[in-house]
Amino acid sequence: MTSGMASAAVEINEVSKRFGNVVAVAEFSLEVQRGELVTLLGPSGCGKTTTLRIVAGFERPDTGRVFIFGHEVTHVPPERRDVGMVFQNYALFPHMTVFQNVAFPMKIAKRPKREICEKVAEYLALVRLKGLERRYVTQLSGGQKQRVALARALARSPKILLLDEPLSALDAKIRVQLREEIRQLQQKLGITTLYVTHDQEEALSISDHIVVMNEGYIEQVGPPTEIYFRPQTLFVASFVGTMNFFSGVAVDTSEGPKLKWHDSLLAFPSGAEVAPGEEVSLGVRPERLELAFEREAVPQGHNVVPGEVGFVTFLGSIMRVEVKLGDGTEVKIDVPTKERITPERGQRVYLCFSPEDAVVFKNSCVRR
Amino acid sequence: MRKEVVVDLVQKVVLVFLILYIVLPLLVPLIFSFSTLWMDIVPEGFTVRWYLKIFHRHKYYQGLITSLLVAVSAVAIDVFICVPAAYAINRLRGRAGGLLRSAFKIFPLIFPPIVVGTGFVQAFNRPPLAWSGSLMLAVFAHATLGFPFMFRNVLAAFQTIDERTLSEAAASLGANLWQRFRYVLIPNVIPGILAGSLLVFAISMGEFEVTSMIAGFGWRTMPLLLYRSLIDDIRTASAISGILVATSILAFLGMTLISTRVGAGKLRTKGARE
Repeated sequence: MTSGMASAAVEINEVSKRFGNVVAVAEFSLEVQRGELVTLLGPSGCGKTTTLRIVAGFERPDTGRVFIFGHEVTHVPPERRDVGMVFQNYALFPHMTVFQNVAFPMKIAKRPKREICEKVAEYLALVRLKGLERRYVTQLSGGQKQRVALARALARSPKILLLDEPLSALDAKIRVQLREEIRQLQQKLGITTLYVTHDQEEALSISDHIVVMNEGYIEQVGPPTEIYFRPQTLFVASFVGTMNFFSGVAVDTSEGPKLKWHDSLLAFPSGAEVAPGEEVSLGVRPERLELAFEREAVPQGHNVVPGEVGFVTFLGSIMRVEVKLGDGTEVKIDVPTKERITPERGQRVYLCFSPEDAVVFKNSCVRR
Repeated sequence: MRKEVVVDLVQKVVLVFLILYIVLPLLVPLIFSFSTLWMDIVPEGFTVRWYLKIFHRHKYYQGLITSLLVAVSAVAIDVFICVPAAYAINRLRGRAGGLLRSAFKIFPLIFPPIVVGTGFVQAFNRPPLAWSGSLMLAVFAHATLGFPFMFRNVLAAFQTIDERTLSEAAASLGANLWQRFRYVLIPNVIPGILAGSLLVFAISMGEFEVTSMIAGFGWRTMPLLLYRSLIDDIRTASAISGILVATSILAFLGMTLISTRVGAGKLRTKGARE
């Protein structure tokens, strides 16, 4: 790929990076389109931060190439890449005021004084920090610090914005507020953004696309809803949200293949290609499971599993019910409180779910 | 109750003796240097005659200038070497980095000064490095002796500011290596540089052992003059001690003043966080 209007904002091509014997990123390829916010999601050590640092220019990949707007930058130092970066621990310059921090990239670029003043005011207004220009950054709260860092990263109008776990050091409440602001700002400016996080809720709430990573490899790339409802691997299913699994062997019945799970036969979603004898798992989200107190109440065509109510947690809008199944495994169900059902501990219940709400995982090819 | 009073008293007495033990030997030459006569326990008469002598006699005046010149040069060399060295060694990852960091903190501190002096004499007494007896060699020797103190302070400064992240932030904002040093790193490690400078300056001003081994005929530092004067002119020797102490205190006050100014932003941090 060379320069041209059609090129992606960021193209990462077969990038690998190892530290000593540890593979941090393995054959990573990704295209980020202009104006998109793409999240790299995964547990610590999955290579998401290393990938971001390779795009920023802080790490050189062992193999592979990186393009920004069609220009190869694999060997370009960070100061000439035209990217804005926001760090987990803010990385503000402690000897400077808020104004000086935001003005820094423009001062380095030798912009005229008047332009700098105007731009700083503009970007501080964008992150809602007007009036704090003369404060030293060390006097600010965590949330304010990260806003300054955001304004500073944007002040030079970079081609792409990189955020490395920007909210990890903040309180839960500010985290939610600031992530919404980051998303709104990103859409307002239309700036292509790569966002690293280990928080699946954060990723689901702000991304155009999510890249789920594990041990240096990409597990799945897709929009948030697809990642959540159609996870392609067991890892994605269990890392993003909560997933209940029913594992067993596929058997042939008169109604086509079904999963034999202890005494129950569970139907697969339509279109699932499962051969008899294959070891498979059915995954169902807690909110897609329903509780029935009698066998007759189970809707036609639903899969049914009997169990016994265990721990019940009231969470406001939902009630999380743990149901102990015959084989001892526990399944989590979210029951909306508006349904006015109050399951009691020890009560015999039936779990049911539409086969269409289940996801099939073949155990033989769980991972590469 | 009574027992506590006794314990308290004993503690105070011990403290007073401790202070006397440390201060008395330092104080005696100072008192001596201002007195006309000191035969009994209490000195008699006040005079600055001995100090005036230093500034009037060319030998002593020249010695003071030499000492200051050597000290300032040694500080300059150590700043020039230690700032880039501490930056580079702070960045080394893995076991090698840790090893180098601890090694440079104590090197050459673990060698007795007499050994360092011997080394300088032997290393610089034949061509092409026949610098023995030159003032330049004294500067190098003092810089070597001061090195671990400067290095230690600058390295600690680089470590506390999380240099790597600050540098990366500055780089992502378009700053090249020189601009990162000039606008971000140096302003943040200056308290460490100043603290190191103070120590190197004080060490150089008072250095005797190594200096006496490499001293040439053309120059004398203050401590060397002090040692010579001890034999024939003990009054002037006391006055030289007084001047050395005064220089150290002045240097200390100056550095403290500058570093509190520079570190003002940092001091405010702590207040804001608490």
